[in-house]
Amino acid sequence: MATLEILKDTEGTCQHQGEIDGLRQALSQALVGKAEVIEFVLASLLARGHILFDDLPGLGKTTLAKAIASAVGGKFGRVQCTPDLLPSDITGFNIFNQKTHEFEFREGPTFSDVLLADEINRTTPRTQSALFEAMAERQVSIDGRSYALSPSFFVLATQNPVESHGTYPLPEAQLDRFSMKLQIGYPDRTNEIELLSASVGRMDTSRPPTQQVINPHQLQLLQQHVATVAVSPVVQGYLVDLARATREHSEIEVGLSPRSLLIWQRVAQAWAHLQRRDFVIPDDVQKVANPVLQVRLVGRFDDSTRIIEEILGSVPVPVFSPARGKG
Amino acid sequence: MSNATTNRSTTKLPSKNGNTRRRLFSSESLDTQVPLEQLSSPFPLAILGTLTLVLVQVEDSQFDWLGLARLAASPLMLGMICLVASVLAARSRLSQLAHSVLVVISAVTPFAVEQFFRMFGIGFAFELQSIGAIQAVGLFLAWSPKTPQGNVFAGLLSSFSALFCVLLGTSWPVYVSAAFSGIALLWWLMARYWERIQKAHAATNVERKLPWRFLIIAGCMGLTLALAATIRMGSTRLISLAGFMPTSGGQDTFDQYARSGVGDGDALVGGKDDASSFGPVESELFLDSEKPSLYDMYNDMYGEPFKINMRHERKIGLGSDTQMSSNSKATTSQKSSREFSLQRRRGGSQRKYAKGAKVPALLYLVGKTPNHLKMETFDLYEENEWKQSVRLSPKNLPEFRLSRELGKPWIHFSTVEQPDYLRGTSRYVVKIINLKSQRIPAPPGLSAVHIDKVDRENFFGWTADHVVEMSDRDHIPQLTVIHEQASRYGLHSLRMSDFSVSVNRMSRASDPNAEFWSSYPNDHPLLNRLATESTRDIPRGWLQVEAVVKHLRENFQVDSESRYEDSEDPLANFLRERKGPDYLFATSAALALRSLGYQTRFVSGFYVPESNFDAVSRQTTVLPENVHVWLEVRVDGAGWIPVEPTPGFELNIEELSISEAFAFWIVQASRWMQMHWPLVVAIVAGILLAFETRLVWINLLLTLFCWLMGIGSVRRRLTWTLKLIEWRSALQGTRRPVGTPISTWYRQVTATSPENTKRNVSAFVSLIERQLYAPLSQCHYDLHEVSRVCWKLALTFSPQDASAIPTHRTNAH
Repeated sequence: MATLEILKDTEGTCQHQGEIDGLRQALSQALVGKAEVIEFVLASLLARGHILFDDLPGLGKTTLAKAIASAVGGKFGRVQCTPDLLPSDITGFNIFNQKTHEFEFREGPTFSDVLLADEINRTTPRTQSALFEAMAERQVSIDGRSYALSPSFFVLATQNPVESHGTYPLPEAQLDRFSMKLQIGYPDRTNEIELLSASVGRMDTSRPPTQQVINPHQLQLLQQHVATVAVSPVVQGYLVDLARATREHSEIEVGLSPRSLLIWQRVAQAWAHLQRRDFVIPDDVQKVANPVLQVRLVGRFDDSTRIIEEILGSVPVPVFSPARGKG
Repeated sequence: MSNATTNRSTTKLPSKNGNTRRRLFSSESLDTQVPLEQLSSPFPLAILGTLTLVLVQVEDSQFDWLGLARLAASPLMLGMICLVASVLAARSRLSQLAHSVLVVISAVTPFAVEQFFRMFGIGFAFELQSIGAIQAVGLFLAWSPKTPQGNVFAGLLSSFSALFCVLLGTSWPVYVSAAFSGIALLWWLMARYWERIQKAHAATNVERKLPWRFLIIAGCMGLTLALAATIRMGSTRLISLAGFMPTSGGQDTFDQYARSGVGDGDALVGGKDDASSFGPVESELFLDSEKPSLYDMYNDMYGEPFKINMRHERKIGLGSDTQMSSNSKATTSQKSSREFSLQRRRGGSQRKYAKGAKVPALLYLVGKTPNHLKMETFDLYEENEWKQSVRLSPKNLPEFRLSRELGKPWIHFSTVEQPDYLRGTSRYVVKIINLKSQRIPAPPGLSAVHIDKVDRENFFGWTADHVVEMSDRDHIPQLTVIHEQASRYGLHSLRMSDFSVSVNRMSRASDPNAEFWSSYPNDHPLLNRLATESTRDIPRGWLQVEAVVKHLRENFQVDSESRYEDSEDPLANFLRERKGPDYLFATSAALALRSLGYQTRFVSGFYVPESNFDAVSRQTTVLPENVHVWLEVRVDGAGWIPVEPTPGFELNIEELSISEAFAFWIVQASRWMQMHWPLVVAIVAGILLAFETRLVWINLLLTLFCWLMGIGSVRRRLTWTLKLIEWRSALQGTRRPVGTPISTWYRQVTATSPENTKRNVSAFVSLIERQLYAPLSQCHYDLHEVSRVCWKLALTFSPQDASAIPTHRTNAH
């Protein structure tokens, strides 16, 4: 291919593609037929962002979380959120050791690499905010002492959209802590049949455990690399224009905050990296727009997807950029 | 939702108390000053507006006790209403309903006062009452606004009435007062502006239940349309105006209190010093001794005629030269035949008027100018002379019939049948001053005349040469005002009418005069050449007439001095030298048209130029030097259409409307196309071919253009190739939506294209993306390679059908 030859020298620049492919494969074995969800989860993982699943139970969230934990070789933690769950139940607590006559710190489930917080809207705001602090700061404070969490601390929180009775809806400001909101949805027919046939003959109904693909250090390196993916001023301008459009849209009450914009850019960087590119193009921004904005836009609308499409359709994609010097 | 709305509207209304209101600025500096509510009150404006109105009314009042009472009555009544409002407000019993009732009462007050004073025989015109009502409402609202909107409304009404008073008033105190009103208005506007800025925080956000703005705009538009329809459907006159405003007569309505009006009626002031200082008022104040006859004027203008062979006696029936009062009985009638000779000599007894002396006006014309006033016609051309044939019989001429219009007698003599080249009628007024003739000077197409109190048909008659005259009179009395109605000619219908038919019909018609209207000197080669040259390739009909006229107007010069004295054939000289006075133009045109088979006649009379219009008396003066000759062409066997061959003189012919002009253009174009049909077919075929293959051509041009523009650098090459495919997509109807990125869109539009195209698109998209969005350090390409990618893309890229593209976006999962 003569025309593609000149592209070759640019393609090798993206490193770590083997590791990413391995992760992708491991996750797709755990969650069959949901390649798009897995891409978003990977992007969020690489962007060091947390995910909120807005979905029914039994669709494979736990499986996915466990698979991520084992694929990155990290510890898996899980909290089933209930109204009587206390902050110390998730962060950990000091206990008096009768033998040593000292307080010992018992780590809670936040001291893990991948934490699954199930039905997060069922616990009290107090407990929620403890979790949010851990998510934002990657540290917990117990009895005046700060404990650092794993650098790749990754939270998958779920909430059930159906049973809203007796829940504590997450405050909008706190939702900003998540990088994206995803729906897994039901698998399609073939995949469901495959799921059934795979479980025949096995004692355990769950999927076979996922092999470790990378170690936490490698994950950190990946995350560091994603942070260096180039974003040209043109694309940054595009991001800002989009954010402004959300602020000016008539149906949106609260538009994007600058912090949200930072997260959006980072997720777009991760997405570009997943596409083996080391620079962000407007496509990346648009591709991740839906899950990223789903969790952030507050307004009087039922169908946020429509609003997001409206915004994406109304802001011109920068194409004929001002002169950037001679190429 | 409605609860919330009402809450908001009530709580956010700006409070009257300045201390509780939130201020945009630091409150320290502003609280010490005068509250803006006082500054932005429209009350001074309303007072000044009332004063201006009173000053206007003073102009129309007498200074007796009744007049002064009349002036003071309205303001006093208003003051009482305001007092009532204040008392009610002080007792906090001024409800919204009571307020509205008081507003209505103040609006009605001026009309009521008017009715009262009309019992004593004095009064104001309707417009003064109306503006008084507006001013009263404005004043009352300014005094007791009730709501913030009331304040605004008061200001608007007061400033409107002040402005209107400027239009009504004529004395300087009115203008001074209005100027103060203007200053007050500016001040009020500024104060309101600042007030609004202060209240910006507590902006009212009241959702109205009714879409008032929409209703008002729609209502205004509807009213405008209705009025426009009324005007269109009625006569061409603006009938909606008459009767809407009080008028002092002259039209359908009369109001004794009117200040002025349509048609001016009895409010028109008759001048007493100078005949030119007044309009056509039926008034007989002027007498003038200078009364030249028409023949004197011709001789003054064109020189005296002479005969070389002296075979004919020159016969001029001159009226009595003795000065007669306008009421004197005619003693002689002028019915002898006359001539108009082409052989004339310079000099004669040209009347000279001292510089600065008043020129003796012959008559005044009120109506559209420039215009022609017909006095005489000549049908027979013989030996350099136009003559009136003796065999003319007026038996085919229409009868006179009397009708009354608003009580005034109108004598109609139009035929019942209205040919389609007539386009309604125009009205004129002619006032005879110094003209001494029994013939009625009238614009072409005269169809009715009205002289006040003249209600007998037999007062008028036809002359032998088909001109309306006042029969059995020596001449029309001086200062007679003649109202005339003349048909207007539609140029379009004339051009469209088929002359060959009408000429045939004419020849069939046993009109004894047809012979004279068609006779022309056969042995005149120059005349024949003029006729044939100017009408070459032109179809028979009005267009030929126009062509002859156009030829004369374009190729011949007016030179009133070149009379070809002593020449035996001035016409031949004129045709050779191509210059001469207007009668030679008219003669040439008439005879040339006769040689082409049209019936023509030579007409003498007056040309009323626009330059003679007197703006003060709104009439046009006709002077002795305005004598003029032209010709008329007979159309459809019935009508005589004026034709003006002399350059510098314009006919008052109805201009083509836009649709008619377009239709005429179409006819002309189709005629041209019939003559050059092979060329037309070739051009049409070429255009069709070009249109069918337009995309190819546009694409080729675009590609070439973009390729040339892209020369220079990788960046230019990539950018211009991108522009090329963007334009191509737009041409194909698959313009990229602004919110869709390049790669997404162009992969979509080439989804079903051949593999090769897809590969090229994908390679190009990778390149352009990197060029646009990657850091500079990553954009080092070989120009040659890039050009190759772009060239391949330019060759193969062609977006598929727009219908095949999925409409929903693909990024939403």
